[in-house]
Amino acid sequence: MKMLRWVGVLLAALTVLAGCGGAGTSGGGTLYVYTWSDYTDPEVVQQFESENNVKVVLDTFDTNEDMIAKVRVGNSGYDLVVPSDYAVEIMIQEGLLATLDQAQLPNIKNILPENLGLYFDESNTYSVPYLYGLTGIAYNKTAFPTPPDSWAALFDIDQLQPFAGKVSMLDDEREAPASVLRFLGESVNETDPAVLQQVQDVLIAQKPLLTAYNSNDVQRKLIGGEYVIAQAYNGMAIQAILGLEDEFPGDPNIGWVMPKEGGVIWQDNLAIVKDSPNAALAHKFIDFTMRPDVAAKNAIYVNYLTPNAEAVKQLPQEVQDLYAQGLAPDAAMYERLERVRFTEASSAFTDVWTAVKGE
Amino acid sequence: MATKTLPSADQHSVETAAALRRDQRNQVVGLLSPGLIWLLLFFVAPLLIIVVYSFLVRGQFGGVSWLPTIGNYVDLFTSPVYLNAYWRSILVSVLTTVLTILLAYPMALFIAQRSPRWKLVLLFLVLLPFWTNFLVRTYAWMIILNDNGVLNTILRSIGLPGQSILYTETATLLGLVYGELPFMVLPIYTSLDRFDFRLMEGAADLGANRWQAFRRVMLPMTMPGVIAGSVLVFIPTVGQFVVSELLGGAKVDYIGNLLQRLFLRSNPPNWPLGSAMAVVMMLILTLVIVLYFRGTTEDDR
Repeated sequence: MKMLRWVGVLLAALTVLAGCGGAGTSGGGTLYVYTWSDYTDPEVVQQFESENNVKVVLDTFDTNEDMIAKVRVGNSGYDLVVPSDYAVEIMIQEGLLATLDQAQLPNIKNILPENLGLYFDESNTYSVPYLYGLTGIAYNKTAFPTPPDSWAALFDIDQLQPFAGKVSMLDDEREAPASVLRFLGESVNETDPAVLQQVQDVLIAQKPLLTAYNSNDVQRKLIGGEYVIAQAYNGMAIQAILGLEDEFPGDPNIGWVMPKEGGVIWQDNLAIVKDSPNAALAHKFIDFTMRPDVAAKNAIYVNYLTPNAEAVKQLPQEVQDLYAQGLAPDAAMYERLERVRFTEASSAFTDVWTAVKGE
Repeated sequence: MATKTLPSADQHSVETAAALRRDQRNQVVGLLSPGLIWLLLFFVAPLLIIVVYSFLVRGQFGGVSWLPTIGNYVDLFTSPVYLNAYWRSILVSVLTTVLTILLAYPMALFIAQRSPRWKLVLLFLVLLPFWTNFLVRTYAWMIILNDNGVLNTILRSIGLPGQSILYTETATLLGLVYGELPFMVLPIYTSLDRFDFRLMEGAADLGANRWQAFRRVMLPMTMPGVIAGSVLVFIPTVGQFVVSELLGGAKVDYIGNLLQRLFLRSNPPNWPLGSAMAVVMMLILTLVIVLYFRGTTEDDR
């Protein structure tokens, strides 16, 4: 019983600790940024701090939903958030974002036109692009001397069979079905039950051949040879090819393609919270991240694509080469790219995913 | 006059006694209230929120819509996907509990029979893993079980075939048994430490062989430790999601994975269904605890 009581005390203590998160509410010379983990180069943050003699506090979230939930309550204390495309739409609809003062954002001229005026914020009244990415196939060049060019490489069981046990899919209820939908010639936002049943069947058939569902460290597993083919974000592949600082060396034997059937493109954006205590400083930070040198530095650190045309020119040659080799979209690729949209019907994807995982 | 003073004195003493009792009562209330407020604020209130949410409809962008429904519970008990997740969780928890008992009992017995100094060292060793974060230790298992990992390197070097264990349900079970083992060893050890080993000699004198002495004397007397350990192991195992995600490759849903996804990863998040799932899980666990309290006396615990 004593034991049980101690466990109780421990749990209670944890509850309190968990409740202590959240940013403070002070304004002044401090900018509170709520962002994804490892999504800003610490040196960039330091540079901003010393150039403006302010302090930047970064808090991180794992999902858009977490972030929205915290901002929705109000008084979150955050100035700046980094919502993905659909999350911008939700936050605008719920009135959680402040309008941007374009006059304070002159560097927006550096941003590629393809990344502006997207469906979720058509005149960029509330948000500016930060980084963007694609979901395609990462592969090991030894296992695939000719690069796969179709989702069939992952979803045609006969083609996948030889690589059984060295395959992974993103552990994501929208990304995994999205690729199957393109494979079947449908939109990634299709919610027709008959089509989704087909998607479910494909994923369940594929499952025995999978090593794992993984959204976290696909790049490491590719380098270690644990996966030879994986559904992956292009940023994962760039990281696998170029290596990550002191953590692992790059491996030029890794490739990445956007299959011919097409796939998902997504974009994360910077936006100011409606009740931001320090909106002026937040504008300054947004404009700072759109400065070509800063955007380039950040893109090299994070490995996802920068929407900053001037920054792309400043990237190291090897990164520019990767962009040119199809890890960044060109006009032709844009034709087969699609953005994931969220509607009332999207919960159907949760059911598909639950069914796949329940198998 | 005298006769009148007496009752008044009596009354006075009655009043003092009442005041004293009142004082004591206030004192008790004063002492209890921090704990009570704590419980109300951080235990009862969240619990009520979960129960209330479980009878509501999912909001369009997450959160809840204030429309009462029992649909969530109907879904839970009619959809085989959810029922399977429950069964799978309960099954793996039972297996984990049984395996930890089989491993922990001999360990605890060994420790209990050492000299006091050795006991201290061995108990310290049992607790040692807690100094490292559980997540880190689980990652270590990934390195051990990996296809080209430590285990397979050893197996191959002595001419045995390599095993693909990582990302299977076996790996999940292994990770769980590993993680929960100390929680079983400690309560069993506590029971065994208080067990008078002379009783075993007594049983032998009365003609019992070693197995019978264990079955009839030692095991029943240390059963409270086994049961306490089982409760400590079973409950967290039912709700776990990290081990099955890391070692199981996130391929199969246990109830914890499902819960985590419905709250955090689904789009829109389904808090009401997740809440209903949590309520049902709590009821199952409460049942286990009730059985535990019925099976043991205050002394045993």
